[in-house]
Amino acid sequence: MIEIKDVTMTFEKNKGEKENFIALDHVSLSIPDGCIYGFLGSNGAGKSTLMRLLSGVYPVKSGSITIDGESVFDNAHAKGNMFFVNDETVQYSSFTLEDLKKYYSGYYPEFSAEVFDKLIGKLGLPPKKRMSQFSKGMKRQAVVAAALSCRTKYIMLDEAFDGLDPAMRKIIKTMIVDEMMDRNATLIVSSHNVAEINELCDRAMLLHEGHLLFADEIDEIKSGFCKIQIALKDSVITKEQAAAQGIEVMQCSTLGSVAQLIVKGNSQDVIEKLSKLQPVLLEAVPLTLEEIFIYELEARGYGADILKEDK
Amino acid sequence: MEQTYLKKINKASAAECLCHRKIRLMIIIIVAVGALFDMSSYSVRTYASNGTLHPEHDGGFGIFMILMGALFGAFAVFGIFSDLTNRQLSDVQMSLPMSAKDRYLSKILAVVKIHLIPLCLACASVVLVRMIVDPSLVNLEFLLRMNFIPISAAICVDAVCIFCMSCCGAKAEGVYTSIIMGFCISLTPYIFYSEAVVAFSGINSSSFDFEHKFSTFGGMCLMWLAVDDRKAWIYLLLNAAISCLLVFATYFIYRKRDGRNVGVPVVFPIYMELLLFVGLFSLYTMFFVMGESGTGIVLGLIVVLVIRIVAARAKITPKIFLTWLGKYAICFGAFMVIMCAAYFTGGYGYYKLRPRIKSTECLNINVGVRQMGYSNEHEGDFYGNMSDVEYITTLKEKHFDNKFFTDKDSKASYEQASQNYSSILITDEEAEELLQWLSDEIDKNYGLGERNMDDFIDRMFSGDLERRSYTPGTYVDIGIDGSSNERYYYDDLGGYYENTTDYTSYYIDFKVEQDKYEELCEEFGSRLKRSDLREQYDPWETDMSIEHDEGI
Repeated sequence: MIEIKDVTMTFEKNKGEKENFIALDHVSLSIPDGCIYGFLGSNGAGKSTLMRLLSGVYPVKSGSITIDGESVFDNAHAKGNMFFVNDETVQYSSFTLEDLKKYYSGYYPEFSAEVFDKLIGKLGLPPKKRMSQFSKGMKRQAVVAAALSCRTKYIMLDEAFDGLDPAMRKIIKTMIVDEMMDRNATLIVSSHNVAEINELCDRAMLLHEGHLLFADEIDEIKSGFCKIQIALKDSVITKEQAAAQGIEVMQCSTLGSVAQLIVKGNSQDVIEKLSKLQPVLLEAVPLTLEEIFIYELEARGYGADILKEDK
Repeated sequence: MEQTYLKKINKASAAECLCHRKIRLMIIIIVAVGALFDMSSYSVRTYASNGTLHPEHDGGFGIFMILMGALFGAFAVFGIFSDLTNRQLSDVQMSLPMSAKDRYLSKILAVVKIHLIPLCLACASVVLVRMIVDPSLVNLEFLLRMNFIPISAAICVDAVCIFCMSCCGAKAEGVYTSIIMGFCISLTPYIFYSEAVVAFSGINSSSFDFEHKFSTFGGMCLMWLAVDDRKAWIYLLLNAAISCLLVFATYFIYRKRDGRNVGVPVVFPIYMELLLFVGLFSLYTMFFVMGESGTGIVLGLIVVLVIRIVAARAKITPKIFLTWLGKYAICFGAFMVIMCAAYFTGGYGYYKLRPRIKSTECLNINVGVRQMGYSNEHEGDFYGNMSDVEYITTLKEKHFDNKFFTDKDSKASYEQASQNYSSILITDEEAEELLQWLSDEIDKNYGLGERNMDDFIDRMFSGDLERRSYTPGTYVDIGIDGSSNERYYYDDLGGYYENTTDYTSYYIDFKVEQDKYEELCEEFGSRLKRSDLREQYDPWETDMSIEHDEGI
């Protein structure tokens, strides 16, 4: 189990900059064993920083991160349980797949050449060709295959499916799920593609500007938000009116006499509260994870300036 | 457990080697070609007079290629330690199941495998082949000594590059600071010592012994000294030991590194200040010694500003710029303080340094009495005039036995007159007594009382650190140049020689005023006459065969 407790990560200011950059601000999170966890967040939210902290690339200066009870930084044993795939693959350019196999088998005693060969075979990657001649997607496939072959308990994939075509995404996802299920391993994936996280993960969290906005099972997250369409008899409902009923409204828009509210909370509770206004139309529509992502960030002003300019 | 750990390090280093196959191949090709050429560069000359063997090295290209191979270690280090400067590699390597210690050890082992092992094998092959051709112990010692030079240089190159890469977060900084640092620490101590310290001492007692000590760090500086000097072994080993110590010390810097520092040009600000100080100190020393102090100051400023701008990678404000200028001024001030201390302490006490005789048997001493004129108008060049030459020759003939002079008819030119030497054979006690007397005379006639700040500033900026002219009028140098006797042995493999003492060669200059000179010559001459001097001998003409009483 991975425990992240009150972690703050600050990058010291460079010459000419006024303030230190806070990449993560008091983030606490638990990642249980055997789950597939999705890291969601805006650009520069701190997803990759959190992954680097988890994999021991960065030291934890404030708060704590433990993997099965052990801190990770400079701890070979703890790091032996995890594999981190970062968002680039240029470092492997001079390798052939055989070299990649040799490289990782030197570091991970549990590395399975058999699994590697099997996965490479499935993906149809040429074992003798240099990876510099591979496409971005092929490199990605190769590294994911290496990650799965190391047979670590935790695998972290930063922008895992970047560069993969839809068909290959599906194959890779199936491959990952199969491997992880077999070993009851934990997968942590970060991606901007919320639909992908929605499809693959059973848990997710959302980061924005270093702050953790939410973290839970995806079904729980979804059930915590809903879209309400409401029409009153002789007026249009306002955000304030809805808020007065004890509802946390994230966004309110109107189309004629029908108002659309994006609210935080269980749909049944919300409908119960709004029924008191005796609406002529009241219905709840479930939100997709992508919509939750967008509305959460919009509620925090993310991209608001750009949208205003466009308007 | 230990076995498992070593296996882990070995596997990790093998993975590193896999990433840097190309540089290993390049190094192998370079050193292999070098070794092939170098094999033909060695020869052993047999002297017909007594059958002694004298190993020699004549070739240039072979040893040049092997030394190039030593320098190529820099590329190996830059590649192996690029996890410190490349974000992607840093992510991969720092997340691997290894601690900083494991990572560092595996990388050092990778440097050894990629760079040092091919180089050592090349050098070993040269030794092996030459020993098959000329099997003698004297040849073996010579071959080992010569072939340890590139190994020592290679360890030094690797150590400096590892240190610099560990202090930098960007490859460009790692590379150019390694070059600057390597250049400075190899040359500066020697230049500073041989030019500044000795010049400020006012006493010129040059000896290979001293030179070695100050050219220790930077094995290649020893190249030319090591050819004929057995003592070079000590300094080559010392050089390698210091390099290893630096690698060990660098571990404590390396383990402080983490992913946050990657991309930061210079991770530890103190390193940048150290580098600039070392660089400026070297530059000032070179230019002040050359008499181009103004050029040195301006060039130093330009170099510092360029490096600062390159390394800054951020907006340069007037405040930052002024800080740089301030730091430059501090560096220059520190240099002047160090030089000032050298001046007022007579080269950090060097003026009190006297050569010691370590022989247990006999010593070969050359005695020279010289006189030189000097004028500032000639920008520090020595010159002599015929009246001086005639004067000194007259004195020599009057006070010294003719056998001390190999060239008696030397009035024709200053060159000859000023370099009258002869070999005499005297005992240790006699030599000690002679040196003690000379030492006392130096103490009597030479002190630091006349030194003052105006003279120091004048010397620093007039382009003449030695500034002999502060002693009024013409002055006199008295020199003793000594080298140890050599003994020759023979064994089943052939002949070899062994010094009975460490090689010592020294020359003392000290200044006495003109009117004191004759008095000194008289005393010197009478002391030599009193000595129970044996016949002159030439080791190459005399059969000095001695029973083989001990092996090497």
